[in-house]
Amino acid sequence: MKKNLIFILIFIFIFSFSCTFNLFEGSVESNYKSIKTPSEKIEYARQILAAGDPEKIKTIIALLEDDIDNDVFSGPDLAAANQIVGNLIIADSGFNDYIANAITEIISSQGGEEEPNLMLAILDSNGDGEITDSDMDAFGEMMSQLADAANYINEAAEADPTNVDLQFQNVIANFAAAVVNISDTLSDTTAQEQFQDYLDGTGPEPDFILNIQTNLDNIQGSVQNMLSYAPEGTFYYDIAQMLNDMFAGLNP
Amino acid sequence: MKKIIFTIFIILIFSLPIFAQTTEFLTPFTYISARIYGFGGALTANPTGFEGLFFNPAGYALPSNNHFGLIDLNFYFNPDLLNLIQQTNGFQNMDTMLTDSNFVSQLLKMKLGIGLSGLPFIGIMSGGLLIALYDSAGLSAAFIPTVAIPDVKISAVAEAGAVVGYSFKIGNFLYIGANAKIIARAWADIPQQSLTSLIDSFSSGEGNLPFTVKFGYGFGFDAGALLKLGSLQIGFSVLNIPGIKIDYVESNKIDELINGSLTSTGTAYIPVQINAGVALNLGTFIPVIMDKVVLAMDIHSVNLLIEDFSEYGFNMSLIGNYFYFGAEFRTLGILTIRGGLYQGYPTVGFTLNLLIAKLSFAYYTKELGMFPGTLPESNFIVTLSLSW
Repeated sequence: MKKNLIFILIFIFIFSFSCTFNLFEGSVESNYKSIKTPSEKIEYARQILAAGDPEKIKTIIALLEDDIDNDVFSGPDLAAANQIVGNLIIADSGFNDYIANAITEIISSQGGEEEPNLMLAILDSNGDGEITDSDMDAFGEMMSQLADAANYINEAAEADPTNVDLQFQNVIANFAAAVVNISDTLSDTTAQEQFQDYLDGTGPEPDFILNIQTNLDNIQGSVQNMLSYAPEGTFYYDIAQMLNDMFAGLNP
Repeated sequence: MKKIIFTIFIILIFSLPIFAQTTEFLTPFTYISARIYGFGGALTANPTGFEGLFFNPAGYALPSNNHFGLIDLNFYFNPDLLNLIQQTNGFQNMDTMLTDSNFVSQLLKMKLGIGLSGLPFIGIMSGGLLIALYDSAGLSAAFIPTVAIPDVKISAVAEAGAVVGYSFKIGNFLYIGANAKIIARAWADIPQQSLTSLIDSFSSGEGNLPFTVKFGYGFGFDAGALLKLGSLQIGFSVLNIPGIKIDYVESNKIDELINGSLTSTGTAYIPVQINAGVALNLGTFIPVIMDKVVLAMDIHSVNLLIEDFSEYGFNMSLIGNYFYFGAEFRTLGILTIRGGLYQGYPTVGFTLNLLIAKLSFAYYTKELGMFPGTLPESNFIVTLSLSW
């Protein structure tokens, strides 16, 4: 009887621990480093992204960035690695919370008389009804992470032009990066003066214009890829057509 | 004993060339049942009831293991789905809820899993003989965030089978059993893609699905042994011998799938699965309140675990995906309470036994990722069965 009771107590002890964490769970780093093939490393990163744990996402981003720098990935694996790092950085940035705020605002205002206040809905991250400095800092942090992500996604998009999902991701990420460039410039008085000198014809072209032009070129490249590879009548084709018309208007 | 070791060695040797030739590898099947999941899936050394046929055929000849089953309806669903139904009052308040940013955030992170098994489960188990027909189907979906439209990952699989098995006792301690089975399996290979692409593919598919559905038959065998030494039971089984070959047909054309006029073919394998376990039948602790106490522990797919060790190096955490641990006891004569660890995640459940009708429930989590703790999926499962 005493022996049986000990067995039961051991079971209860193990069961209690398992309620707080998986007893067999290893660290993301040790798991990742035990994987030998690049394609499996990417699959593991996809699983981490799907699970959505912020700490694990931070860890896997660092591991993948190291491996990209050390040329562990090549060919299609490199494109996939760049894409997954870009999307991991975006997940880490809290971008989806801003999207959720925007969706909520649009739906709330439907059928009402008031126009949706998207600016307030997106930027008011703490929900206090006004845009404060802390809201702007959080937004700036998120946008700069998006700009980092855009570099990775652009690498992937250039390597895999037929992947229209990826091309659309590249459009969004580069658009965000361009916005970051503009907002950084507008908050810096020296850069503002340089820009004013350039407009007045008394100074050279500032670097940020070149950066924005690079972002716009990337967007145009992906739009052309979407027009080439997305079947006519699909969501991506229609979006690409609209963006193409918009660019045609910008570059007469 | 030497003969048993030799037999195991031969099975392993014969299973290896099949893995080497495999072009497509199918996941070994786990029957969806509240008893199995509530008990942590550790039935190799405690293979009682119809659930035992999926773990160790040696159990059919165990004393009092005689059953007749007509219905075994199992339904599982994800807590996310239950939350969604509750929060939206059965989807009626969906419009209102979409104005709540917290709800929208939750919605973007939701995982959906539903499945069904066995409305007809016709089985007879008597005198060591088993004849059974079963079926099961599962669907799971998850959104994966991207900078643009979220990706969606869907998996779908269904299996039906007919099993004939026999078990007998050798001497005072050893039970040996085997199954012959025919399996029909249908599954869909749905690549991870953006939600928009998937919807576009459905709407512009002109009678074509945006993924391929595969359907095929195969046959194979299971063998098992159970050593019963007083309260201790040691179980060992080899399932899906010799690696079940499924010759399938496939198509993404809806009319071909409906008419059965599929022409494209291929071959897939369900691998041999070697399971081992121990169980302790601890009997009665407190009369009426706590009797029929059982503890059990299994390692499933020992052969696949060894493959993992050879691929990833020896790492104790790898055992988690193959580790199952369960406990149950009966109370008041009609209620069986269960708990356990399923792949290292906690499970709880119960069965209310009302003469021939049994109502069971379990909450469990299983691992969908490569390593324990990577991508857990939690589900509730409810079972209503008519058997005696």
